Amino acid sequence: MTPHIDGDGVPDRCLSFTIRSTWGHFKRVGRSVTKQTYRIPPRTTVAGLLAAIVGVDRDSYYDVFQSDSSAIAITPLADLRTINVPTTGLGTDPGQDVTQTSGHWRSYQITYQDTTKDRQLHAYEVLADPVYRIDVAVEDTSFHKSLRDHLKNGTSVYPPSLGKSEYLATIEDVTIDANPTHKPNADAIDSIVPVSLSETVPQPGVSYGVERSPAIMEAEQGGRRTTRFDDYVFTKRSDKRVKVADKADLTPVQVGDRNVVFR
Amino acid sequence: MALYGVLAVAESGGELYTTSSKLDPFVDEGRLITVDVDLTGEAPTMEGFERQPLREDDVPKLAYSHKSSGRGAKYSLTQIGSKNGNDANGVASTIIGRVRSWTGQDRVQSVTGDDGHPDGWIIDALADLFEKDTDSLGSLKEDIVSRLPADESIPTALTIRFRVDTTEIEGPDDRGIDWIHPADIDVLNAAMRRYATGNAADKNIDSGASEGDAVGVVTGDEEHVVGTPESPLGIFSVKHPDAQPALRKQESWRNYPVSEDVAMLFSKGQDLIDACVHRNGGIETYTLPYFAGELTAEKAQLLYRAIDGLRNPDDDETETPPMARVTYRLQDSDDETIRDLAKTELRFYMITMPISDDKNVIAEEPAADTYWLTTLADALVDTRQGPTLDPERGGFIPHKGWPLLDLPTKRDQGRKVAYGLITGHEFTNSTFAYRDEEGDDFRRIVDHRIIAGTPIEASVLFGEYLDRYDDASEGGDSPPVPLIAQQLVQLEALSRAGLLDGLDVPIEPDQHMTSLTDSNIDMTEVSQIRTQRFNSFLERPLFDATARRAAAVAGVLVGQISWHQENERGVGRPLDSKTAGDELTKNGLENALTSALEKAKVYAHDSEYERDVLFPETVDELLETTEEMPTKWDIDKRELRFCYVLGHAHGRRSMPVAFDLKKDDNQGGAAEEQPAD
Repeated sequence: MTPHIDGDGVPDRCLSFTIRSTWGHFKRVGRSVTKQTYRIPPRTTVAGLLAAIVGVDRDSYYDVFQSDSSAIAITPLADLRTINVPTTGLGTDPGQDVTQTSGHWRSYQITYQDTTKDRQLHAYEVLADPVYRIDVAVEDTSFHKSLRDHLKNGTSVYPPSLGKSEYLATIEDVTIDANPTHKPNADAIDSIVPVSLSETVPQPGVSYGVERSPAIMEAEQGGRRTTRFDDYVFTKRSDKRVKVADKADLTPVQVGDRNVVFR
Repeated sequence: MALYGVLAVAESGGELYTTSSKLDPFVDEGRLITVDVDLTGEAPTMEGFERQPLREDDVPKLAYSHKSSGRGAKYSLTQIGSKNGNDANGVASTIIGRVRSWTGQDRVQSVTGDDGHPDGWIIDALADLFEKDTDSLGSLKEDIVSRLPADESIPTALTIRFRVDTTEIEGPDDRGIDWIHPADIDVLNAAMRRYATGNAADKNIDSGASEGDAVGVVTGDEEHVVGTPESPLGIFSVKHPDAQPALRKQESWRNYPVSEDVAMLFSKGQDLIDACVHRNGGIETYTLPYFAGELTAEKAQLLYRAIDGLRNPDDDETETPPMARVTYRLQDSDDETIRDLAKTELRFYMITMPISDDKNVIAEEPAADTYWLTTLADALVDTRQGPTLDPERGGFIPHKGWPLLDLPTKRDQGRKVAYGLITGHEFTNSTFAYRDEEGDDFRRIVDHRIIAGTPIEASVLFGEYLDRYDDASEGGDSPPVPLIAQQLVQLEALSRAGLLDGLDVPIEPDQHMTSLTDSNIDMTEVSQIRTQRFNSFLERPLFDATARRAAAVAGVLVGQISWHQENERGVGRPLDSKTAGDELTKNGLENALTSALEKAKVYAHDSEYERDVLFPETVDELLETTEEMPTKWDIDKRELRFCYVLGHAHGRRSMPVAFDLKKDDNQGGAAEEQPAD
């Protein structure tokens, strides 16, 4: 049965699974000079990850993940810890380190890196041992069915990874057709909460993290563009929960033993 | 970032693009030339010009936008000449030329055409009229030269007034056909904004520009966005050192959509951001204060004043990092609501980078509050006042000039100094290993983690401490004891604050530890003082575990024997010179310990007090703690070394400190001369 999402953005049923890897890297927008990572995979990244499992084409799945037809909740299950990992890479500057085959007129000209040149050192900020619980519902029947089957059977068309392709991820503890139940009075949320810092209640000894990342995209002539960015608040330690103020306009629900907020 | 731009703009009179203050030197002193253009006919016509003194009232109509860099056309249609004045010829050639140059700018032209602004035709009309060598332009020039005084140079502003049907264009109130000024014409303002933010769309792009219509990352609204805005901290640029061959720089707006207004705010906020930087050791840390709650006018003003105050530090706070100064300023306020705000809503955006063109973010924390900082500062003060730095309770002697050992004893002052030490890098710098590479300083990552409340692993700290031990050892000499004392103080402060992970016990000693003065020992007896201090020293949860305790006691013994060798027997290379703590192995310790035990026996003859062995309390304690030799001890290498080093630091000073504390009967409490160590 395909889930139905109500006016508060809450689905009547959802798929739940845990995804983990040894490393993760979700490159931040607005940072081109330095390779920093979001602590939480952006909603668009989760959409791409699910699309990889289902195996749909690039730029073809954005409609599935629009705000009124999809709902995603993300709960970090491990402490959010990052380290800077220096990596060496070949330069790819066309002006310097790249060679082109002369190419026959009938053949393609191939651009490739000159491997005899010096390597460049780049520091990547990576998440160490990231683990997230993803609750997701999409109203698109065929996408939902395909995702459901893949999760159930432990298969995927393209290998899921956390950010970069080399950070291959494993998927565990799959729950098919979990039933979110409304918990209108829940003020402590396990998942990340799409509010601003001013709508949270500070707790002594609990550090909140904040991020703003792309949430929804659309395909467009010449590429794609983001149509919504989300602010969200989370705690850096998995055993702590975000407390939200009464004024926050949220619909908390319970999935399993966790309080989550879909967005 | 944008918030800081808003603050800066609000402070400077609320103008984001227009810069009317730049017209101040022209007001009353200069003249305003208004060229009339009639757009109501079949074709646009130039209707001559008017000249009058430039008055304050005129300024808002002109929508002047200053371009400070480079020469030539300003961002707005309204142009100005030299502050020193232009003569009639200058007005006719130079300033008129600037109008032409303005209409010809690529960025101005971008509002014309099919997908431009609906009123783009006004710009086209202007371009036609001001084209070189047209008749209308020629007669305007002649007119100007004949009517303005020829040899008088007067500061001149030149603008254009349009006669249009106000119902047909965007901007002015609908009132039929009328004369209107540039400030009321939407398309001219749009062109001015495009021009002024041109760099934000085509910086480092060889041809074309990166711009489009999308949802702005800052505003969340659909709008015209640019893809190469000036980045306040220099961390966004489409000029990659590792440029991809197929990188389409013109598409950067898709990834990083920033509206023109926000791009302008970024650049306007730069000065305020620069006030919040703390630089030392090749590293810069920006700590930008803000309030987490909804921003009110009062809060904005408070924030602006706090940041502005950073620019003019008092003499006694030039070394105090900005983060600490902002916090003190708000916390020390006479106003209760401000103190409250500091407690609940004050946050810092922190980012640490090397000082270099090659930007590399070492650590970043978008919402650091003051909770952990205050907690740790308090813990540091508690540690300073506790047994660890009280020689009478087996602790180390507080040394002047060693930051972590030299805190003011008054709690308020002590906490402030401690806060400054933590935000100013000194807390970590004073105990961690030195770093050469500026690009990736782990100490700064630790600073960020501490401030963000992320506990530090004990094993990481032990590793750092031992590396520093090695850094500080010169020519085989052990590092100065205060260094070890600082490391213990740091470890203990972190443990008190709940920021230490990976150890099964707390570091802080029991507060009820007995002091020399409230025990029944004979204060004229060095050996009794020494024994009492030694027992107190071991009264720490850290030494409850057998192997750690044994390592520490072994360290004490090696330290004591080495002191004896050096000061009583004149041995050039005492035992500890061959047993550096940072290279210690279980085998090495076994050898050192064997030799220390032997020497304790042999040297006993030197002593007038000890018949059997030297330092009997230590030898006894060692044998009581374990009968196994170090190679059998079950302990992590780094823990072994750190406990040994700690014990050694105590042991090395156990005689001199005891001499210090000894009360001589005859001299009534004066300390004996302290032997050098």
